[in-house]
Amino acid sequence: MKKSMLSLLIAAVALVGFTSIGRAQPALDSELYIYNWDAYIDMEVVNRYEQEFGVRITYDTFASLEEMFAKIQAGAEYDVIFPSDFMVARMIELDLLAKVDKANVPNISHIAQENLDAWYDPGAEYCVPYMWGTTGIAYLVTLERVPEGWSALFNPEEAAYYAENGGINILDDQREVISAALKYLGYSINETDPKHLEEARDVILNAKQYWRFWNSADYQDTILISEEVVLSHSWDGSTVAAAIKTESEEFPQGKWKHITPKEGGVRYQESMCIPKTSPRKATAEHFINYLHNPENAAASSNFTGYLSANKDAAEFYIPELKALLPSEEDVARMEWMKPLDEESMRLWDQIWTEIRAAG
Amino acid sequence: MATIAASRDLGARVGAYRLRFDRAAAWLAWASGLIWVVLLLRGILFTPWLLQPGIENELMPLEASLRDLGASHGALWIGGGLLLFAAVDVGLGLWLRQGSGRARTAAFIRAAVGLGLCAAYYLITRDFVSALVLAAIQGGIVVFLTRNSGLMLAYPSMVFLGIFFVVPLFSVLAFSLGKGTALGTVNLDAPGLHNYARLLSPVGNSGLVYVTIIARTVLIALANTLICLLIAYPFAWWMARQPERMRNILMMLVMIPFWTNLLIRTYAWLIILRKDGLINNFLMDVLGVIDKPLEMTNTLGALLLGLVYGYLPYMILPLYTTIERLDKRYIEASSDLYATPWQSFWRVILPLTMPGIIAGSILVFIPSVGTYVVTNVLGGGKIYLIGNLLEQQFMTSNGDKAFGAAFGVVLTVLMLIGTMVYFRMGRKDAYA
Repeated sequence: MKKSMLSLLIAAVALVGFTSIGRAQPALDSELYIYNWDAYIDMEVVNRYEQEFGVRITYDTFASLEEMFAKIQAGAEYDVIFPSDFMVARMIELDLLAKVDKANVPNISHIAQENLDAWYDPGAEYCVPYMWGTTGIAYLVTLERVPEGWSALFNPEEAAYYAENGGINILDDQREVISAALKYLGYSINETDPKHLEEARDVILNAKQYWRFWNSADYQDTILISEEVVLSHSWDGSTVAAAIKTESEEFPQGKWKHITPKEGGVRYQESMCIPKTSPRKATAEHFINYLHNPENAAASSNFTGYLSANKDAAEFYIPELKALLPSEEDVARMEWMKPLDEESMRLWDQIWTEIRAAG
Repeated sequence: MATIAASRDLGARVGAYRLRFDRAAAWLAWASGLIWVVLLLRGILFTPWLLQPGIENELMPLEASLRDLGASHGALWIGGGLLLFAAVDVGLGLWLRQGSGRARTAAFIRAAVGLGLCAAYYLITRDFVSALVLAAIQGGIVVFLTRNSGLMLAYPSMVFLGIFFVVPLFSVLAFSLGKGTALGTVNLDAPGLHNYARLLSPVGNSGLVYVTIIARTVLIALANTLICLLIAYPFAWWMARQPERMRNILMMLVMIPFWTNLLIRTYAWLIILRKDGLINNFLMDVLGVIDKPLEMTNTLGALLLGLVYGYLPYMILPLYTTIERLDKRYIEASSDLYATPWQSFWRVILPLTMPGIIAGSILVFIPSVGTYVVTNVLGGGKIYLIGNLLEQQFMTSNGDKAFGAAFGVVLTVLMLIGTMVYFRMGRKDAYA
């Protein structure tokens, strides 16, 4: 008995030893350049990585995807970037991204298959999914009438109620606002039919007078927390970020809650990609793998309020995030935002200009 | 005018030292020769791209594109070329130092050929920075050879403006003739005026939306300029009448807000104006005159307040300078001649301070047309102006960069015309 225990132990040690040799660390570069959305990662995790592996990380942020795109196109040497779905598709088409070597990212096994198979990069050939979410409505928990769907923004009677009780913020984002109106009307969010788009425009123009703010840049910090409004068109993660910052004894889970509209809406996902210009690909892959260690992934989600693509991170989530986890039916109602052809882009842009310039 | 005359005068005095110009040109030629020698040595000894065309070393852009150029002709071809260039430049420098007229002609030709080669190099390799640096050296040789010290003194700023002003301006112009693609790039294959036509064509049910946006922005900027002028003029007048010590203190007080970023100051206004801000709290809790907070943000009033607050110092400072320099004897003379105070202001003081009014108005008007931060923070994104439209075209996924560039060109031209008209007006008034 004892002997067999001993041999088992030896075998175990040998096995661990061999696997660790087999998985020997590749030589890491001494530095790494990261380019991410502002406040879209837990810096603690980044600092831990620096200390653990002796890699000095330069962390830059961008405020819009176009800004990032322009920089990468101009040949900026970043190692890991965090573009959103349609931008990944565009960058793949323009041959700006290198394919991630999955053997170097074993933690990819924690990512839900559904996230790996997103339309823009099926099978995650180029990029590793990072975070994902849906666009919906944030509301103040003290409201008597809880919103259920897009009608809270677009039905003049409902919108007037929320406007009177404190005001509404709308995302200053062409695709998001028109998509929401299209969903309210029961159309696809990637609509190209001018008639349907004009219908959406008229819905928006009718409701516009009830919206106090057009802010998509920093509304969770400047408008939601100070309760300038009671209702906001919102990305789920931003709602949670506002909830985290309004936690109190009376409201242990914050004063803001998120709903996924019953009509459905926009679904998005950010990926971690390596630009072709990166001279430190192996280190970049190593870093990506580190971020997808479930605990690290959860740390970033708990900090930013956005859901991780990492399915095993859920058990480490804070209560606000656990409450945000959408049901399968919710997800099924959502639609991916896809790139439009040139003519439709022009149409959308003109309709948006009409909406914004009116009144 | 005065500067040109002065430089001519200077040029005449320097005429005796013509040789010095040629010698300076010789140094520049040697500098150019040194570049070729360094490239050659690096290419052979340190990062041997010349000897091993396939190596993946860290090459400078110039080396990389030279290597690519040479790839079809063999690396030796490039090496030989570099050696030839170096020999020509060194020889030319030696010749120039002897002060011969023929050497000067030869150097002119050499510089002209150099400029042509730079252009060709750019057209083939699209390596803009290297082409520009090399072209700047060729231009420097030409400038020295003209023996015109005025041109020589202006050359560095000419190069600077050329790189950072003229080139970007013309790129915007070129972009505006292209076509935005679904991938967010600009296709310049079939240039045309379609973007300008789009700017002038009606959209949906809203008519000439783009023209409306321009007009709205210009109106807001004009209103801002006028309000600034009405506030700043009496203030500058009062400031100029203070004792010297006081004037300096006041000047400091006007300048202090400049030390903080405009964005931060604008957000400070947000804290004052918003629903749970200082004013509402004071009115509700301290005075108790209202029971529902006033909505002061996201209004035209808040936007104008932010603009006036941000740009007022630009109006005060030039006005103060002209008013301070105003000769008070003119005012005394006008009242001696039985002018009423109103008449002496209208007929004497106003024309005399016109230069300050014009300078201040331009300094306020032009940046407020392009304003974006203030309108977005205090206007809550509700009042849609040119700045928002440009952001929509350049920074959002459905934007059309070519169309945005056309908007930029129109804006620049409008500004230019406005400024010119204004200056004309000012000149007539000043001499009336």
